[in-house]
Order: sequence, then C-alpha cells, then structure tokens
Amino acid sequence: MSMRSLPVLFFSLGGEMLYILDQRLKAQKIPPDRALKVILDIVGRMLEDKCLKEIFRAQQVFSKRALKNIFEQLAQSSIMKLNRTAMDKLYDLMIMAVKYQVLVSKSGREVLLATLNHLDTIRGFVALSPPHVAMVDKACLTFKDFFESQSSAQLMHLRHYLLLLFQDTNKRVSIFLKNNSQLPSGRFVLPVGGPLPYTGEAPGAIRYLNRGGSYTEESFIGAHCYELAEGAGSLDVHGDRVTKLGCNMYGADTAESSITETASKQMPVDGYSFVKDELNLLQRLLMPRPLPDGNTFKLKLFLDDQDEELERLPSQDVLQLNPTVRGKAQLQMIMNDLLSVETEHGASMGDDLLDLLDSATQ
Amino acid sequence: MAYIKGPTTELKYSVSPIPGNLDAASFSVASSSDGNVAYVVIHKNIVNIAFVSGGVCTQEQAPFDAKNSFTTITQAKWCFLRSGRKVLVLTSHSGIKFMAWNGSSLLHYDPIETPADSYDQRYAKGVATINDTVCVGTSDGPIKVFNVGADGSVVFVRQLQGHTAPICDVCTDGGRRLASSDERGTIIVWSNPVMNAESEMVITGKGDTPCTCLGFWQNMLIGGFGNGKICIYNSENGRTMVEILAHGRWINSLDVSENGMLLSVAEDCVASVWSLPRKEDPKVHLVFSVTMTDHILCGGKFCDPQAKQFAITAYDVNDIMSFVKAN
Repeated sequence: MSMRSLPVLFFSLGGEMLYILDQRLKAQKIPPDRALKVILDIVGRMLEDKCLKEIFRAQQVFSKRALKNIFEQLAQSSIMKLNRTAMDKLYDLMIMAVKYQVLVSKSGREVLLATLNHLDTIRGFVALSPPHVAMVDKACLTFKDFFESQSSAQLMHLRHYLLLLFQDTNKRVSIFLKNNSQLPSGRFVLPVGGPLPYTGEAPGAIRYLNRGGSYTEESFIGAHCYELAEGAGSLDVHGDRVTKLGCNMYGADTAESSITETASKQMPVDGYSFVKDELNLLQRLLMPRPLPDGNTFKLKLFLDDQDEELERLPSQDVLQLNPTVRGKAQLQMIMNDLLSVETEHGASMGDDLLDLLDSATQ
Repeated sequence: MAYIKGPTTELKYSVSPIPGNLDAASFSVASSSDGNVAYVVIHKNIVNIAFVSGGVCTQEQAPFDAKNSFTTITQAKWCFLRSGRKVLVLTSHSGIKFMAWNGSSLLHYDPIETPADSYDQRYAKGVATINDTVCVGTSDGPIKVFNVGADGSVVFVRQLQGHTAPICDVCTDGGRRLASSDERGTIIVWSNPVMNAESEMVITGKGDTPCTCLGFWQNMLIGGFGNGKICIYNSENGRTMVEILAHGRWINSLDVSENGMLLSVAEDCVASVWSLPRKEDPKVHLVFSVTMTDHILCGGKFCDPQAKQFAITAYDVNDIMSFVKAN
C-alpha cells in the first residue's frame, strides 16, 4: 500500500480527462471562448488550494470507484454537461491510459515524471490565464517537494500499488490498438530492451572481482538490447522530464477513441471495490457549484453518445483472437464483435462505431 | 541443459504486483507417487492456494482478514519446521499471521499499527525458517523471531536490531544462520538468531539500490537488486566475489535450489536460470533464459530440490507458468 498515491492518480487521471475533453472541444468546433472556459473551470477546481491540501494529505486510495466520483464531480463543475454513459467511458479511457503509463515506466521515478508531463500539458492549456498558470506551477512545486526525498524503493512501492489498483482492468482502447500498444485481449504490449532506468547498466556481463578492486569480465548473450538512459529527468517546476509517458496522445487530428470490454476476469467481492467515506473530503470539495441557467452545453465525447441515459449493455464474451494479428484485420474482428452487440440489442451504435474505427485505421 | 514449457496452473484470481509473489512446496500425498506441488500466490488481500497432484489441480482461497479486507498481503510463505509441523505465514500492512498450511485456520496473529496521518505505512515482509523458529522482517528494520511449537502455538522470542531501512527479504542457510536485506542494499548475516540477537557480518549497501531478494548456497550469499544486478558474496567475510549484470529492470525474486541452480525473475519480463560457482567449476553460467512477452514477472520458484522444474508468476495474469528440464 502507498499513502502517497493520490497526487499521482489525481494529476495523471485529471490530465488524461483534460486531454480528451480538449480534443473533443476542438473537434466539435465549440467556440474557443466557451472551450477555454470549460478547461479553466476544471483546472481551477482541480488546483485550488483547499483541494491541493487534501490531495497531498497522507491517505490511502482503495478503489477506482471513489476516484471516479471525484472526476465525475470535476467534469460536472464546468459549463459542459456529459451524460452517464459518456462519463463512464471517459473514466475507463483515463484509467487505461494511466495504467499503461505506470506499467511501461521503467522505475518509480518515471511514474512521477509522467505525472509532471500531465501538469506541463495542463499549463499549456491554461497559458492564456496567468492565475491558472500560477496554480499549475504551485501544484508542480508541491509535487516535487512531496516526492523528491523518496528513495527508489519507496517509489517502486508506489508504482506497484498503482498497478495493484489497476489490476484486472483490461479494456480495449482503439488508440492503443491502433499504435500496437495493446493486444486484442486487452493486455498491454511491453517494450523490451530500449532505454535503461537511470544509472542502470545493460545486462550481459559477469564480473569476477579481485581483492584489489579490479575485475575480469565475461559476457553472455542478454535477452534484449538496451541503451543507457538519457538522464534522470527533472522534477522541477519547469524541466526536461526525459520520458514521453504522460504527454498528450490525442492530437487535433486523432479520431475519437473507443473503448470496449474484454472478457471479465473473476474478482473477489472485497473491500477494494468500495470503502465507505473514502476520499470523502476531497469529494465534498469538488461538488459542482450552481451555474447560471442557460449557460451550459452538452458535449458528445463518443459518436455513440445518446441524449437519454442508456441502459448498460452486459459484457460480451471476447472472441478468441489471434494475438499476433495486428492492424486493420484485428480491428475488423473487433468491429465484428461490436456488430454482434448491435444485432442482439437493436441499438444503432454500430454504424457510428464503424466510422470511428475506420478512421482510426487510416 | 535447457528447459521447456511445462504445465500451466490457472488461478481463480490474478497475480498482484508484489515482489516474490510465489511460493512453491512439495507435499507428500500417500495416494499418489507423482510429483505434488502446492503453490501460493497473492491477489491483493487474498491468497490463492493451488495443489497440483497427478495432473489434477484443486484450489482454495484464503483472505488475510475476512472482516477487514483493506490490507495488502506482502508475502505468503510456507514454513517447514523441525518438529514436522508446516505453517503458512502471511505478512501484510496489518500484521503477521501464522496459519495452518492450507490456510484453513489461524494459529497466531501479530498486529502492526501505523500512526494516523503517517505517510509511511508499516508492514512486514521477509519470512525464513530456522529449526522451529520463524523470522519475519519489518518495515521499521527489526526482524521478529517467533518460536512455533509442535502444537501450533506461536511465541514471540526477540527482535534482531541492525537494519535501519525496511526489510526486503530474509533467508537461511539451512542451518543456523540467517541473512536479511533492506531497501538501502545492506545485508546482515545473523549467526544464531534462535539463541541470540547478535549480527555476525554486515555488508553495507551503497544507499539507494535495494537488495530485493536473497539466497544462500554453500559458502555463498546471493543478492538480487533493484538495478537488475545479482551479487554473490563470500558468506563468511562478506567479500563480493561475482557481480552479474543479469536484468534490465528491477529483480523481483531469486530462488536457489539444493544443487546450486539460481532462478531470477525481473520486471524486464525475463526469467533466467544460472549455475552457481562450485569446486569443479568456479564460474557462473547462464543455462537458460526465457522472455515472457508482455508479462512483468513477480515471483519465481524451483518446484523441487534438483531444479527439474520451476514456476513463475506475472502481474495481472491468472496463470502460474512452469518450465521443466528438457531431457
């Protein structure tokens, strides 16, 4: 368990939420002033002093559900309105993105750097508002002070605890499938070899040490090819994070991401699914404030968003896909899977999703 | 010598990302002459216990605490005592539990409390057996020594003071000696923790590289580190004899067999089997290596004393994967 996980979760998940919202606001040509207000409202709530103080308090995060409540309230705190289904999918996308970043991180320190990449990008979103930039800078400084004295072991505990929270969540995300970061089973592809953790040495040598301190070395063929790290990465308010994890993967021309269920694993019904009063104070701090009538608008996050609340569709069994198949053929199989949902339930979501997935492969 | 893919055991619940997340033991079953292996694997606050006998697998699950399920188990290990009794020891952020070997009943609970508003949650981790004594490491640094009676009674005996950083692992040489390692990379050898609390030798760590796992073999002490290195020390004087640049990521588990084979698993998705130095061959050899694509490996154990089979676990996977020595 880690008592320091909330800042990483809050800023990383919040960052992912803002990336998706920003991309959708631009794609749907929401007037720039209204789009900026959405972002400023959310960032302002996220980073106000009372929230920061609560986020950096020693507390455990037991469940994704409590975190979800927080982000639902954050999303509702702006003039933008999301329906329930869209919010659920948004949260799943956020979770899968952060799970990927934590999983692929070579060390606990890289998890921190990825979180700072989120804050750096948020700073870019709010660049036109100096008070909000100051809030981001303060959050970065507090983050640095909170973590800079942690040892590599403590940071690895943090990373392992985040992975434990995300355990058994393996939803398929089209953007990850498209760039071959995820298999059709939902499992993420882990890069092999490549950059080492900072100060790491590449495997492949056996050193026999002599009493004087010198050694003779023999080599063996290591499993993978590695290269030295570019640097430690900076935890400063402004600095080179070295890693690209946590940066915005939703460019202006990125198609909407879709997310689908995989076959559900057995999970025990236990306290991890819900803790009474978990993150209570933070949830109260982020309760939406009343907005003037007529000042809100609805944002469609996904092409299949309906105006009405949708009844939740039951999970579908996953087709046993060949895990070596990549690219368009694999997406076609996933589309077929989704089409079977349409046939069975008569919903009209299939065509829009086909368009979405088609555009993701171009 | 090489290994080939062996049987896979499917667990009810997936494997949690906890270093050393696998224990394996052979249990004799009168009705079967086939190899019998039992595995214990942690899923958050529950252990999966799988018994494989004659190709048939039966499973049980045991929570750390059925009433309070918010703790995370940090280690699950079987202890075979000199009296013939077998116990399952579970360590966690809530305390240390001694249970019947199949997890069916509780023998003793040693709670751990963390002060409110503390950023550093206390926990226990690292379990080793000497005769009828079980030694358990703690995050504060001391190692707790318990005596387990043939009737299952558990009595706290003493604490071994020496570490000032959280304990990562403890192991024994099969005799009287205990070794322990911590998050600063310091390794301490205790000559006879059953009888006294004095340390015999200290290998001081370099500071920020934890020694995540330990093993003993003959006159050697073997340590796996967070930077992917394996170091082999003279267990009498602490001199570093061999340094292996073994893995590209954090090493999560080491296991040493009775015939001097070393299994290492790491977050680089690689499991490797090494031959340790011996009289007839003073070199270390990499005898087998396998990449479990897209799997962060958490635990690895030899299933028998002669290293004919080993098993590994990976994060977020429901399987225990095994490899058997090829003929």
